[in-house]
Amino acid sequence: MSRSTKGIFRSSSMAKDYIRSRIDREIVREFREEFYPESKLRYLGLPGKELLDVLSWREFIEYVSAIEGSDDEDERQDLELTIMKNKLDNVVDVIYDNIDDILTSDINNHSLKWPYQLVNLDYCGGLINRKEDTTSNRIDSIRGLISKQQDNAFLLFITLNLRDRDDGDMDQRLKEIEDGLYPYSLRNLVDSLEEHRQLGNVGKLKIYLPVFLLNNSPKYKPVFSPPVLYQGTKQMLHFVIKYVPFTGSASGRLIIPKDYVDILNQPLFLLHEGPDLRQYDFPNVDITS
Amino acid sequence: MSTWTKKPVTWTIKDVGASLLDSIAGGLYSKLEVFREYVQNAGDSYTDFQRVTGKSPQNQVQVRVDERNGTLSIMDYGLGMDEVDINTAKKIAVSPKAVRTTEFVGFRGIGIWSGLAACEKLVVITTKYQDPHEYRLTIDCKGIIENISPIPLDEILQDRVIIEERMGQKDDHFTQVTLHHINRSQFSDLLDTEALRRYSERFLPVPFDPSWKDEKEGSYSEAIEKYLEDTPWTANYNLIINNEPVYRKFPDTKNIQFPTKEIITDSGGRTVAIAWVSETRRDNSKKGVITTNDGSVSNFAIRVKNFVIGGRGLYSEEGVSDIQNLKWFVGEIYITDPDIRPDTKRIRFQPSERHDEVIKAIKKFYTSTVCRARALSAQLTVLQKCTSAQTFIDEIKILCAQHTIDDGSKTASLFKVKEITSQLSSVKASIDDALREIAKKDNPDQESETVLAIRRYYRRKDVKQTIEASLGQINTFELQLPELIREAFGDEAKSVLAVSERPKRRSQARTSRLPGKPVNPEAVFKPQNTGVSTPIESSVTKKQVVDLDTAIDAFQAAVASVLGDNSEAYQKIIDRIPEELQRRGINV
Repeated sequence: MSRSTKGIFRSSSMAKDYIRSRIDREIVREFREEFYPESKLRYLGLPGKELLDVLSWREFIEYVSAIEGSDDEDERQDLELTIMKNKLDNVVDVIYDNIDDILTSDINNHSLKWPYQLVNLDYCGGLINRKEDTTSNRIDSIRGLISKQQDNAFLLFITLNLRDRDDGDMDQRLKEIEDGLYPYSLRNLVDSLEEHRQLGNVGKLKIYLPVFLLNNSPKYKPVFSPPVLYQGTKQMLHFVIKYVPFTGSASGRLIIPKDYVDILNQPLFLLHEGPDLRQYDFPNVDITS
Repeated sequence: MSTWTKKPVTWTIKDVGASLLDSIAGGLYSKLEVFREYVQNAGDSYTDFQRVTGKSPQNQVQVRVDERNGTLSIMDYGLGMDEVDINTAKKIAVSPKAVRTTEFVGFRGIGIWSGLAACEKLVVITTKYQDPHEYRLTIDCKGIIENISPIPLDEILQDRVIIEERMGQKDDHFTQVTLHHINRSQFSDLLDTEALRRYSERFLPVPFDPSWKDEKEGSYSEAIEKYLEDTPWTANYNLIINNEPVYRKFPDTKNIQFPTKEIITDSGGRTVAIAWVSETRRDNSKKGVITTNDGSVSNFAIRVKNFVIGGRGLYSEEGVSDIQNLKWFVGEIYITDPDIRPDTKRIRFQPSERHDEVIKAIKKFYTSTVCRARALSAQLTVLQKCTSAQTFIDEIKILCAQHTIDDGSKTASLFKVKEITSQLSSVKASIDDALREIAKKDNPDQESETVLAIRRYYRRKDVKQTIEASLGQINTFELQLPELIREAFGDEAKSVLAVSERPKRRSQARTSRLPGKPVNPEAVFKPQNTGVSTPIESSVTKKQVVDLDTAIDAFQAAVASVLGDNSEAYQKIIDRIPEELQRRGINV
């Protein structure tokens, strides 16, 4: 369990600290070396009032657009205090607005400096939260994000609460995947999908999100790191996706069965307390069978 | 009738009306003065830190301007405040600083309330050195201003001034003041980074730019810091606005000379201020005004506790003449007299016992500085004359060298040599005057400050050397000149020499001997009856028409002025005139 935050400024958990400083930081460093060795990176996202990501990756970062959607004055003041105490005055630009509205809007009201090489969507809630008309703000905003990145390489960090009012959307998607791969008679396909389902939203999101991103990024070849399930304020699932620009064809990248199989075969990492990282493997779906 | 008996009078906050806040809200401070107040408080916090801990503070005042969101934050890492301190800070016009030592800059206790009119909400977050608690003071400025009325003060402030506490980090010590939702219509400058920077450069105790140096003479910044190291209340803050440091801005070293230190004393000889002064370097023109197009400054700023009071040249408006000459200088005057304090608006000194004496001393400093300007001007003039002398000598030499061969332009060159020789004489006289001035003994009781200053400037080593060298050169040349001219111009040179050797006297031209008669000016402009039937037309322009007598008179006068009417050459020329006219078909 995370420490009580009552009366205490710090709100992150040990697990999240570990992910940020040991796992993600290394990913950021490698990414920068690969794509932007001569320059520092621009960060967009929901860093929270303590700016923990920004402080942890500070040496790689040139500029931050910090989206703060909360109306809570205390949160806002604490964010300003963090900025000043850490001498980030000319690095961090705070935008008080809803991130989904910003990403879905066609107008750049906040002088955002697209493209951003690091995007952190640390959502407190779920991913889908489907509305009555079956659309989802969050899903739409991620689509908006990808289109605004102008085909430039970037890292996307998404952290999700397992609770999600998806109205059966995830089950539907898993079924579609199963139906689509079934004709190929792949060994362990059914077992793998069954195991994912048994884990509940953890297993379903592990497939759902990457599949969604895969299908909505024709100009990119997303590279998925294995997701991490950890204990924050609640149980959270953390994804890191490296968006590599695809230039192979003018019509965009083709999605093939192997792409789905790779997603299924990815392990799940578990982090319950501190530096105790564990790997959970799923039945290996064999594409050569 | 019975006698009076005193009754006890008690005061409570109910006796003070909320309308008092109107004064604070209604412009006690202008927009940037609000900023200054918070920076000043930040600075005082460092003084507190040093006093309490004995450690050297980091002296950094950090400013964050968030124009989009309309907030301005000022943060210091000084002593900070605990619960008692924050309760004291919220008081209106009651300052513990006023009864503490004179080292504090702020003293009126208005500090925290300075921004009342500038924003909707003022928030102070602070934690004191070695106290694990953080405190937050929130003032609902908008609510207070909207509800100002003749009700007791405590009623209007109730629930609009809140103090809260939480746990913090024990090692932290800071104070952050944030003005939220700044009133853009009247206080837009508080959200303008450039405006804040410019204001800070000119008025606040920010450091000198470490890059302000001359290649040959060295660092101007370091020199001034050295002058001031033993002067009280000259400590600076490292002011950082949006992570960029702010420095005082002064003219480029190529435009001003190395600064010097001056001590300003009153009529009793007591030191009242320390100044540093830098003079213009404009040595190629009489106009020595320091240009300030690049945003730098000229003239003098007066600093009290290192904050600038009023405008540049304060107190020079009366009793100091030629104040425009102060712009030939740039500098600062640091008041060291502890009796001197700024008024509320910090535009002049507050009246006090020593007020008049100190102002008098400052005016005397300005006057002597103006005299320096005059002296500098005289110096520039005489140096220019030395340069001109060299130019004249060179021109004469060139003209003489051109005429080893006899050609038609000899006469014109002779005229030119004569003219330049005359100019050289005039310049020599000025340079000679300067040299005589150098040799004179100073008599401060009888001579004006300007005269003494001029002499002082003439006596500067490089100036004196230039004057002496120039005069020597002229004297040597004058000895050589007759021979030079004779070689170049032959017989005609004699008459030039004769003219140049003769003392100056009135022209001998015929026209100057005519008695003349009074005439109507209008008649003068009518064409004269020369007795010549055919008007003379200029062979060069084909346009001008002049009567023959006038033309001959003018020509004769010109020749006589150059050659002298007793010279052989003159006579020869005059004798040839009729012949030349006849050749041109004119009978005289």
